Amino acid sequence: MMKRILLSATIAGTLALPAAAQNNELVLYCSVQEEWCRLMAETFQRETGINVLMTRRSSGETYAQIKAEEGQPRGDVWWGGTGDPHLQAAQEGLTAEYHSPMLAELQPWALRQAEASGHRTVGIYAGALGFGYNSTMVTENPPACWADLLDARFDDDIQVANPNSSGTAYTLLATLVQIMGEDEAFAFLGQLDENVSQYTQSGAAPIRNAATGETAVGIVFMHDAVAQAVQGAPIVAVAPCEGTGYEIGSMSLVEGGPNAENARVFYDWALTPAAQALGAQANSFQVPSNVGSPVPEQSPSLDQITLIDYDFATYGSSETRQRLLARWDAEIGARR
Amino acid sequence: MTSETERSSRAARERMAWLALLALAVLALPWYQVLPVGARPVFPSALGLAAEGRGWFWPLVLALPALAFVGRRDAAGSLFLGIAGGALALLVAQGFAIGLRGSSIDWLATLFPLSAQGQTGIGWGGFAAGVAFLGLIAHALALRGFCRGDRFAASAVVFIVALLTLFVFFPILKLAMAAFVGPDGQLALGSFLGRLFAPDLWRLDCLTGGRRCGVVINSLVLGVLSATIATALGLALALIVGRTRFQFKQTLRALSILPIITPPFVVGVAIIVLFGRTGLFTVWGAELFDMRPTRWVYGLTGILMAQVLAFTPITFLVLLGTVEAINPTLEEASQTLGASPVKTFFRITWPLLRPGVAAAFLLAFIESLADFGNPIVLGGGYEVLSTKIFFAVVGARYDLGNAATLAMILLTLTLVAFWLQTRWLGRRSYVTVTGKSDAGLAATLPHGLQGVAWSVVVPFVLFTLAVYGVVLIGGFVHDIGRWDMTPTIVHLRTAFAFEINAEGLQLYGSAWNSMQTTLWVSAIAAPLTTLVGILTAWLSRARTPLNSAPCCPLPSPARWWASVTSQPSTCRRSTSPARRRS
Repeated sequence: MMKRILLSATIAGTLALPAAAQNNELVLYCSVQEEWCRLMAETFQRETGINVLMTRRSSGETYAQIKAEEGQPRGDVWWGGTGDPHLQAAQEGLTAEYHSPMLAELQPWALRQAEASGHRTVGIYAGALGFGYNSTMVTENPPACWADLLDARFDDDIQVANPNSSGTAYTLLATLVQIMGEDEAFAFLGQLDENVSQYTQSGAAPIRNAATGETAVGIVFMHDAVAQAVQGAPIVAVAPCEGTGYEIGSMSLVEGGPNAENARVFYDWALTPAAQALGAQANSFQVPSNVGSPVPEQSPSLDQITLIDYDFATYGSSETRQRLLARWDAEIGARR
Repeated sequence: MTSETERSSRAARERMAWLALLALAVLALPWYQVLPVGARPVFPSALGLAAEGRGWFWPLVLALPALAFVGRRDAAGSLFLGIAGGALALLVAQGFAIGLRGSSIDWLATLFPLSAQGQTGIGWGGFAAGVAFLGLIAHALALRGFCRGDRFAASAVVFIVALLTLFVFFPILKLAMAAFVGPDGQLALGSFLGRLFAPDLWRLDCLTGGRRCGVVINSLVLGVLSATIATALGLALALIVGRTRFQFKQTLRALSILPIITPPFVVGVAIIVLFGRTGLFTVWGAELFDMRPTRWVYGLTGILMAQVLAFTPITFLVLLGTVEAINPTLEEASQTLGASPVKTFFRITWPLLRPGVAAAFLLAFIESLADFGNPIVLGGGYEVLSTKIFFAVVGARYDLGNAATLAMILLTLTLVAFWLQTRWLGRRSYVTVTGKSDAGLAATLPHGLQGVAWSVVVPFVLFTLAVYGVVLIGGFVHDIGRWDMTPTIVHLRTAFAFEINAEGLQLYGSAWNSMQTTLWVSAIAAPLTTLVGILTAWLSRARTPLNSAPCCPLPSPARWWASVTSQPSTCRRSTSPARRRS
């Protein structure tokens, strides 16, 4: 008898549990710089009352995390970071299909990203590749083209990330191959290697190092160079004269995430002009994807840069990537 | 006779408790943490889910009456053990067979159409059911004579083995699978061997000049150098604190233990601020010798500096334990018999210190292999195993197989070092046995040695002070990396901003979240780790008071685990053999 009373009491007690488990939360995986991530999370929380649990990681790390959590997804939205890992996640079904009502307001390049992935990801910003130099160290005859970087005066004074670890550096590799042709691009990288002091692990590290004077030139996305300049570092951002490639920063919903409803609310909100204007406040000068979003004054304007017709499908594909990286390892990495 | 019935009734009560937990788990508690999309059970427990059509839960639910019925008749029988073991196996198997995206096994999918909805991670119900089955297995085993019928010991063994399986063997198995099995699911021994013997792991080109060495060689070189220097410094510090009449011992002690609590990235950045190309000391040095400032700190030198700073506290604590444990009467006797202080040191003190030195060295070596933060910040082009593993997984080229192979190499190196340590220290006894109390005058360090010790300790202390000075000042200026020394509290505000509005306290600072998590994790982990550590230590070392036979046989990996967990990681004084005075 006693047992039965106990049992029914516990059953009654636990009935309340599932209701309490539904929290008004959103787990956000963010892959842009910390300041912007925080501002996004904070503003969204203020406007919707949804409690945002944000984790900042590089896009490569986030991709690895989402893949590792495939059996039990913990994240809801993956916001920001270069497009390739987003496309890869879409290809593997790690992210969910979603047709946001906001799609109609987006730039064509943002929509192309959505279409290429079967609407499992979408473009949120674009940024051109380039380089930045420290104007206290390079005072005369500033470099304007990729070819200028081969100059002997930059001996041991150029940094770029290792393409095996960084999407930025892989974009450089793919860009040069598309501008020059593959053999010429590797010949160029071989000559550049004479001037490179260090292949960093992180994509944006070279420009930070240029800002502190650890190196004279850093090859990075131009908005990263601008961000350093805005913070007062003696950095000048350069759009190379031969033309350059670009990245499409993307956003995806995690398939099977715990708060799917809130995730879609965030998704739609993140594509609004108001939300996209937050980037500039956080010293991030990428070009936003909503047609109505104000383009920050300091942003390297995509109209004035010679942009190549970057082939995301080919150079984002696994085979091309493996092949180019293997060749980089054999011809450039092996020299070290 | 009465004690016999009393014992069996106590066993029955224990069984009822486990069964009650099982009932709670399968009847009442929600099985999943979050219900799968589309699932609409009347009640989210295993019973409710089974009734909705998730038929694979029926055996788990029916195990409850079966165990209750069989247990009443013969809880020691193989049937009882079989049901409990089978149910546990089924619980694990169903979790793997039906994942988030349904089942990949055809007959399961046809038999249970609802399996297509998939399963999310288990919640309290699944967890409690697992615990209950383990408890019942241990119960049955104890009744069958396992652990001499000691039910507590049997439960402890069963739960520790389960923990080991879940958190040690299973991850290693997954790792090995990732290393041996290709992405297509086929055994790929060829590519494993190819990765294992890849020249960029093992090549020795740095010895002949020219290119860099392989990562494994890099890791080993770094480990040996870092451990040697850290041990030497730790010894010097320990001798000064333990064997001199230096007045500010406590200050020195506190200062040298400081780095143990500092995260590695902070120290790395501070070292760049001091020794990078635009660093304070590099610029001074360049002006002094009229040279172009270089990036000399990036690479082996920089990692070494940071690691020595981080590991010296560990070696210091180990060696201080050894120094203090040496019975002073031996040294006193040596000096009374006319030996010089130098001779006493080298003939008496040093041999007794040796095992401590070995322990400290190997500890620092293992720490160096495992270090990730310092190589990533200061490594430059100097790659070590830990960074290589990281970028194999998160890099532009997602290569889990390569990461797994590298991780296996790292694991092997660590285990070999650990094995060497236990072997080296286990072979000889270094206990000073005198039969008298420890009264006696500890020999002070000979003057020459004191000079040597001070000459290494002073630079170390200055270096520590400089690094922490940079950290402290860096928190309150605009950007110490660019020498922009405008005072500011903006970093503090970024980290700890908060607001009190209509919805109550809102924490917006970037550090709040991580701070809460850190506190929570430590608060949960500390008692659990201590509990498991004490239990394992008790099981592997203790003997029952009555018969002094080993209480319970633990498998040898569990013994290894015991010896690892029973040492608090920050302050492993128990590794110093001279301390064991049993």
